[in-house]
This record gives sequence, structure tokens and C-alpha cells, in this order.
Amino acid sequence: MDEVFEPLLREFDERRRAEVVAAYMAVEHAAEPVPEVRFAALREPAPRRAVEEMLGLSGRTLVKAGRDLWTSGFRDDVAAELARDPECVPPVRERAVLALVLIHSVAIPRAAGLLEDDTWVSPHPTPLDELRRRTRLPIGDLEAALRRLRMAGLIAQVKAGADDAGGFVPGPQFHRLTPDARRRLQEELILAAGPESPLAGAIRARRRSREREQREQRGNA
Amino acid sequence: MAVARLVREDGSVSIDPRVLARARARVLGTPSVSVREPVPAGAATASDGERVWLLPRWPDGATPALLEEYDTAPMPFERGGQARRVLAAALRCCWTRPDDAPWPGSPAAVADVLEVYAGMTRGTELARRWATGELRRLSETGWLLLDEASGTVRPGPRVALWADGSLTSLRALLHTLPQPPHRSSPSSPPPENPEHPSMNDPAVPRGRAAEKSAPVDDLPPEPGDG
Amino acid sequence: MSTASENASAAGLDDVLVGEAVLGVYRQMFAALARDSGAVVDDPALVDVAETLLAAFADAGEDGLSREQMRHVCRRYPAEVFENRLRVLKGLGAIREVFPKPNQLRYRASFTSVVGLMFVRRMMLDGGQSEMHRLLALEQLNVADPRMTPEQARAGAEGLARAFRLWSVELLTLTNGTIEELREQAPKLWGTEEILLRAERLHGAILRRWPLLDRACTELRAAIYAYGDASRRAAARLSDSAGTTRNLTLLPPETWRTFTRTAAPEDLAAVLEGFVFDAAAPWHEPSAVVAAVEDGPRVTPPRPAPPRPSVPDAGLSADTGSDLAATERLRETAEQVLRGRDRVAVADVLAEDWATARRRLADLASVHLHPELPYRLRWSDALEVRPGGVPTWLSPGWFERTGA
Repeated sequence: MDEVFEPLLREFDERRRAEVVAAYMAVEHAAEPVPEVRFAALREPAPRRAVEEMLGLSGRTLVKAGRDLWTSGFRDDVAAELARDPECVPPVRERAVLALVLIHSVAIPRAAGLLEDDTWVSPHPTPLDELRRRTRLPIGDLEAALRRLRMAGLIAQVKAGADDAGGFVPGPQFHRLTPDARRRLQEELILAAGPESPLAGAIRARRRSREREQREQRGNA
Repeated sequence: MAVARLVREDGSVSIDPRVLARARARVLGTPSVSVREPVPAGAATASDGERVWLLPRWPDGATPALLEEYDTAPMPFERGGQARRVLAAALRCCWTRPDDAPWPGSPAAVADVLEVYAGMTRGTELARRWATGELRRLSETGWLLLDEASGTVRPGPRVALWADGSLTSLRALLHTLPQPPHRSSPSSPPPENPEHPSMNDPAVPRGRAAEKSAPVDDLPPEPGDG
Repeated sequence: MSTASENASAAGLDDVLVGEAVLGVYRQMFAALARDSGAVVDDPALVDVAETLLAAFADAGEDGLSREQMRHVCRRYPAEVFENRLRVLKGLGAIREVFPKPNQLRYRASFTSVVGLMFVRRMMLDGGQSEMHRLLALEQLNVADPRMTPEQARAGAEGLARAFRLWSVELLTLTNGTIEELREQAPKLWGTEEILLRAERLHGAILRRWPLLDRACTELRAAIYAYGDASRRAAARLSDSAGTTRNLTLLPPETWRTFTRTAAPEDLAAVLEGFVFDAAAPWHEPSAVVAAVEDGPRVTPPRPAPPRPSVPDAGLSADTGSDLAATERLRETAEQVLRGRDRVAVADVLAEDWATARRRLADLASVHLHPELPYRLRWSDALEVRPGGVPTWLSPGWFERTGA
């Protein structure tokens, strides 16, 4: 019995308790979002709330990843706080590789109308050659970065098929972004690639007004 | 200490430091601090007497292996079979007292681990190279502690998450694996780590007095053939 | 935007206008788009036929083209499509019949149609944005031209004001409509900072040279502001309804490509500066470790490690990462051998000269041993002797895909 989770689990009978634990472990450790049909505790509000609170103990939250599909991810406030710690942010070369994969596998196919679903998951691989050319990393460094990104599920390798040479796509971790984090990722890409675009202007304006509001709120508090 | 650093000076963030510490551990894998540093209250930890590793905490003795019962795939781990075979080879060398827990075990020469691995599988040079890569990968994910400078390896803090009840078949298996070659100097096993590792909740930082006293009294027997 | 197009074409085609009826110019300009002499095409492929023909005329020079030559350059289109196009283009004056010698029929194309088609292509690309850029640049030149009269300047200012006002009306309508429609159309319609800047500069230039045009300029200024406001609103509505990745469509693919080509790794990395991710944390249950060893390639019966050459044990070499290029080569070899099948008999693969077969066999063995590649070799215990074959003996074996 674990005293951290106990207060949240105590109210459930044995069967329900097992369901809550299974749902908790599933959203935390499954590669892909898990379906409600398989995890009873995710179907009903009370046990789902217990799962949510258990996740909250380690700064995480339930993330809805489609109809009746759930996974977990960092709460936005916790993620923001962690991101201030340089140790918690992936090193430059890994982030550069990952950004390239996001642009080639998601942004460009999206802009070309080749992607239907509104997610960061994509079937369009970014060729290794492209990564090599654009990051200008020595091959050893690039391979080390790719290996670590793959290991963390941030990218996945697509084997060469009949029509394409294979490469890398965003990995299952991208399911774990909260709606706010997903929107922020989109905004950061637009700000970086099209800083002069009207959309970038609108993003900056909205951020400024939000910051102003927050300052005022803090001033009032 | 890192957790304290995460709270802004103006106090505008009200995230529970224990919550942040657990979240941070998920980002970093299995972060460690010196035993002399405070560990967030309520954290699950494993200590070897010198350092304390923060471990994930799971309810009701569950482990991610629970996912199998629900036909649910865990995060993909490429070449998992090979990694596990290399882990077994390492444990064959580092878990020298099978009646004890595998954590913290004792250091073994990387060369010995590779030797055992080669004996277990097809012992080509290529396989040996891949096994070396696996050692590094296991080290990066907290299953082994690899000291590249001294060429030694020992169990990682994650093995402290194994419940004793789940170890029977692994103990039996390790027994059947090739024995590590017995080496005298210069790469003889360094002194063992403390005999009473802690794997408990609020970590009890250990004094360092008891550390160096463990006798090297049950080295594996000599290899059976010549 | 209709104003914009009239101005743009009129300004570029002054000399063509001379001696020709305005309607004639219009007909030729849009001939490429005409389905028959009364309506616009409903299939973009029909425009391609016109474009192909006009390009061929440009290459042909003053001799023009014969009918056979026209048919030849359009050979990938069905005969009836070609005939239809030719009839319409002739009817509208885009292509004319000429008789350089008696009994010799040749065709020539109209310059106006080509210009019209260029304009149409640009309009299709961005809905008029680049046309507006050209127009503003042109007007700026006109304003500096000493021959320009106040009346012409007024007409220009009024035309621009009308264009901007219609433009902002379209944008506002979209902004208040469905988000899907806005997402699709807005990027073509909204103003970049540059268009607004140019428009204001032009407005300032007109006002300085002809202060009496003050009213027309006030109108123009108001129209520019309205347009700037409308495009900001459209952008704000889109950014508010961001979704997860939908707004990525709002930058054209070329902008994304340019970014990847020009950005330093640090700029790329900065995109993800504020994000944290889970560390890799694979779980190895003790029973899974046991299973991996039992299922793995084992030397049976278990025996102590075989002696091996005295390879120096200098700890870990740096050479432990997977060699991507070598892996890829092996993968290619495997796929060449399998050619889409799940397994092949080794004997079939090796039916070549011995040197090649040996090399191939070595490759397959490497593929088999490579932990990242999902293929394996399986041998049976039997031995087949094949006098005269290459090789002369063979254990029946299969090279196959593995599930994992």
C-alpha cells in the first residue's frame, strides 16, 4: 500500500481500485492514447477524476487525444516551470533535429494539403539526408541525437517503402502534448518560419495582451 | 538543490515542490543527488550510500508490465530483446549474491559482461560491438550504471523497482548463464558497495561509515573448464 | 480586385490598345480561360492546352506554326480537346490564320493573350496579392513621372481606394463566416505589412505632389486603414481558432522550406525551447528479461565463453552507435533479395557466379546478425549436393522477414 496514492484510492472497492490503477498505468506508460472501452476507469467521471488526481501528484494531467482516447502529459503550469530549468530542456542539436522533423513531416505536408488529421503525427518521413544537410551536424553527432530522440519516442523511424526512401516522423510522445502545448508548438513554428506574416503578428499581439492581463491580475491580487 | 531553484523568487508559482520534483524526474529519467542533499519528502528513492536516485512511484505494486494484460503496447523500445539479454549478462556479473536484492549489486568489468554476452549468444565481434551500444543505452535509461572511464558497470537504480517476489525466474536463469571470467589485476572487481542499500520512501541518507567494509567473500567460482 | 486587374492590364498594354477595340483586347486576354466564346472554362486542363500552344508559338518565331505542328505539341491531349481549344482560341482572336504563301496556311498567336495568361496565372497563385504589389509599384512610378496629370493621379487614387475597399469587404465577410472558409481563403487576401507600407507611401507621394487631391487621398487613406484592419482581424480570428496544426497551412510550403534552408541549428532549436518531454524510460520486467534470453540466439548447450583472440579490452570504444549508412545498405540488399516477398529460398538468391553468391551470402549473414533489421536466415540441417551448381553444396535455407 502506498501512502501517496492511498487517499485517492481508498474510496473504491477492490475491482474499481484495480481499474483505476490500470487506467493510471496505461495513460502514463502506453505508447499511444488508450481507448475508454478498454479502461473502465476512464469512462466514468468519478474514477476518471481519481486518475486525474493521481496524475496531478507528479505534475501530469489527462490529455484527450481523440474520441474516447486518453493519454497523459505535463500540466501546462508544471511544463512551463520545468522549461525554466535548462537541464530539463533537450540539448540544441536534438531540438534542431526535432524541429526539422516537425516542419518536414507535418508543416510542409499540411501546407500542401496532404495531411488530414489535426495532430502532430504524420506518415510523411523526413529523409535522413535532409536532416544531415540542414543541421550541418557531424554524422556522429546527428546519429547520437537521432538515437536519443528515438529512444524517448520523440521521433520514429519509417523504413524505406516502395515509393519513398524512409526517414523519420514525429514519435508517439507528441500525443502527450496538452491542447495548449500543441497550439503553442504551432505558434512557435509560425513565429520562427514566418515572422513577418500577419498570423505571426496576431500571435505576438495576443501574447502581449495575455501577459498584460496576467500582470494586471497579479497587481490586483 | 534543483527543486528550490524552480520556484520563482517572487513566489508567484504555487506548484507543490514535491509535485515538481516528481515531474522533473520524469523529464530527466532517474536523476540523482548526493546523499548529503535533501530529497523531496515522499519521493521513492534508491541509494547506494553515496548518491540517491529518484524513482517513479506506482500504486498498488503495479509496474508498466501491467499494460500487457490489457493488450496495450508500451513506448516502443527498439531491439528490446537484445537490450534485455545484455542486461542479463550484466546482472550475471554484477548481481553476485543472488539471495540479496540486485540493487545495488557490485561493479564488474565491461569486458567481463561482454564475455558473458558472447558466451550466451553468437559471440561475433559484431555482436560484441552492438552489446557495447546496449550497455550505454541501458545506462542512459537507468538500468545500469556505466563508468566508461574505469570500464566498469553495475546495476542501475531502476532494478531497485523490481519487487522481490518477481525475481525467482530471473535468479534461476542467471544461474544458467556462462560464468564471468575470473580476473585478477588490473581489472579485478573494485570493492563492493554497501551491503545495506536502501530502497524506501523518505530516503534515509546513510552515513558513509559502513560503506567500505563489505568483504569480497563470495566471488563466483572458477570457470569449469580450461 | 476587378479594378486592380483592369489597371494592371491597361497600364501594361497601352500600345496594344491602339487601333483595337477594347472588347477585342478583353476577348484575347481571357481567351485562354474561355470554354467556348460565351463562357469561362470549367476544367483547368483546358487552360494548359492554351498555355502549351502559346509557348510553342513563342518558340516558333515569325513563321508561326502549321496545324500539324500545333497538334504535335498538344499530342498528350485528346484530339477533340485540341480541336475545341483551337476553335475557341481562333474565334477569340488569340490565334490567327495567316497565309505567307498561296495555299500555305500558318497560324500566329496574339501577344495580348500571353500577357493575359500570365496575369491569370498570377491571380490563381495568390488571389491578387502580387498584382497589387505590381500595381502599387507602377503607380509609384507614375506619380514621379512629370507627364502625369492630376486627373490621372486622381483616377489612380480612386481606383486603388476602390480596390482596397473591396478587398477589405471580402476579408471581413470571410472573417465573419465559417472558420474553414477563412482558413482556406484568408492568406490569399490579407495584406502583408509590405503592401500596407507601399500603399501609404504612394498616398503620401500623391498628396505631396498634388495637394488639391486631398479628398481623394483621404478616401484612399481610409481604404488602406480599413484593409489593414480587416487583414489583422482575419489573422487574429485564425490565430484564436488555432487547433493543433491547422494554422500551419497558413504559411505556404515554400516559406517552410526556405526556413529550413536558411535557419541556423540554433534558430531551429529555439522553436522547442519552451517544451519538456518525458525521458526514455523503458521497463524491463524480470520475466521479460528471462524471456528475452530464452528466446534469443543461444549457443546450446550453454557452455562457458569460448576463448577468443586477445582483443584489447579498452573499456568502451567510441564505435558503438549504429552505422546508419551501413545499415541502410544492408536493408537495401535485403529488400533487393526479397523483392516484396516475405521469404525467399537462399538457393534461388545464390544462383549466380560463385564470387557474387559468396558476397551476397556474406551480406545476408550480416543482415541476419544486425539487431535493427527485421530479417533472418534460417537453415535446415540437411545438405544438398549439387554437382555443377553454384555453389556445389547447399543447406536448404530461407531468408525471411521477421515480425519484430
